[in-house]
Amino acid sequence: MSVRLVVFGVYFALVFFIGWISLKSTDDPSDYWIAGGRLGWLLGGATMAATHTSAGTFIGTIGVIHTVGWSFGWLILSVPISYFLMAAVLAPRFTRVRKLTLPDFIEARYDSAAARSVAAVIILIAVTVYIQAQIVAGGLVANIVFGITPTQGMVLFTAILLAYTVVGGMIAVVYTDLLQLAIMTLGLLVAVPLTVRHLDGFANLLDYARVMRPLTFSWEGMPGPLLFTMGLAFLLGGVATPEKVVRLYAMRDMRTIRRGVLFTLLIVTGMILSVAVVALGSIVLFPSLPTGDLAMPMVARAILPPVVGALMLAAITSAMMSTVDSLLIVAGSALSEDIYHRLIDPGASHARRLIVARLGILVVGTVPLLMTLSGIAEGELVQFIVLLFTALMASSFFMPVVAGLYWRRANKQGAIAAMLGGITTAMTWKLYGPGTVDPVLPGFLVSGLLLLVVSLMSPPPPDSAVTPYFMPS
Amino acid sequence: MSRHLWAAVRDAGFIFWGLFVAFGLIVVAYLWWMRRSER
Repeated sequence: MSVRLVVFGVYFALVFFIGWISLKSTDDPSDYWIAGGRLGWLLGGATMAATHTSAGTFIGTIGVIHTVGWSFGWLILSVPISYFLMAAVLAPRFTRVRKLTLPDFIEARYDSAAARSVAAVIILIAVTVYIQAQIVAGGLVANIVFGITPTQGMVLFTAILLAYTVVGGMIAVVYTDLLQLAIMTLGLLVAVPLTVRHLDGFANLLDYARVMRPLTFSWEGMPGPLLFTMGLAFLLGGVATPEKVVRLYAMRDMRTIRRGVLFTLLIVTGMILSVAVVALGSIVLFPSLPTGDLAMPMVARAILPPVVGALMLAAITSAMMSTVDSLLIVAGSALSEDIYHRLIDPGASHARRLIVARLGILVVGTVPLLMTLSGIAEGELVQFIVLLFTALMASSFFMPVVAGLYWRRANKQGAIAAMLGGITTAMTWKLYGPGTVDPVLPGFLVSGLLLLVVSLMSPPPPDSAVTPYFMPS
Repeated sequence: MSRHLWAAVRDAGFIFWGLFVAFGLIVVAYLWWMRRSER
């Protein structure tokens, strides 16, 4: 217990220190939202990787592999492919005009403040869902580390996160992300060999897992259509989620982006593959758990030496915090830049916008906590909440963003219809549709169809808005 | 020992090792694209 407290004490102290330092280097909204657009490949790639790696990876992925077997591991492939598409297809055109937020881009490309507001509202709704998943997992970890109740854990977790994000903005988030990525990598580098050694080597680990649960290495753990459509959600969502694409604006130029995204791709995929190996270990060691989400904390507590176990739990906490802080930034910017500055007070000064942003982040961070405390989404596996968020993002933004960069004729009516139709379809499917197909498939198809049909039925967008994105580079 | 490892990997089947091979191929494709775009 005391070792865990020391490790966590040092970790939190470092995070606060970074928040405080960042406050001093934040002068205007561009610093606060995209770290001034000055990031190199290492920081840029690290912040992207840390943002990607959430409780979904450390608790969720291992939980699902523990439950359904290795077939879920194939979903991992959608991650490197989505980063490849992001760097090769999206980034070259997306970054031709540097903006501050995704809704900012939507307004510029479609020449429409209404489209921007729709995007901002969708982000606020979806981010609430995602943050909730992380807070639930945060409570679980705090319960194990500090022995406090999960509810107290959730409150503590949210308070720490809000403190450094509100104060330091994107600069704080980027540097804490780097720290958190280092902790995650270190945690896995130590935990994986120890888990493997605990089970007498890799060969035995594979044999034991196969013998303990014959379904582990079969395709029967998960229905094919569900596996495929979930992969599609991660693929499409990976390309166009706002907290990731905004990091393209934070990096210096295309050359930096190509290297940064490669770094992200290698680190993230490597981490998920390592987590998958730990998941095999958890199948052998703890074959029957009340919920798969407990697999990683159990491994950390039961088979790792105290310091490494504490490090692993700090890594899980880092994974959650680095994701939520980035989402808070995205949600805060949606409120302050896209809604307040654009619609309510266009003449607002920099200082005033930053105050609104900080208040907005406080509110957006508190709502999911209140929702969780009142019992909404209780008992869902963390990974499936993450997947729902990704599906909502993919259904609303993939078509308006990617098609908008390659099809000149796409206009604001089409984009608004695509965003609203996509998210509504995905939500409806999640609530009432068959569970064997992920909501992203119908959401994405409806969104694409609406973009096409509605754009063709209404006037083309003004040349002045479209041309910057279609100029030869 | 290493023979045991190969046997274990083979017994786990394509579902296991195919994933690592596929990942390797994607990385090679990315590196190829990166080189090409910077030429």
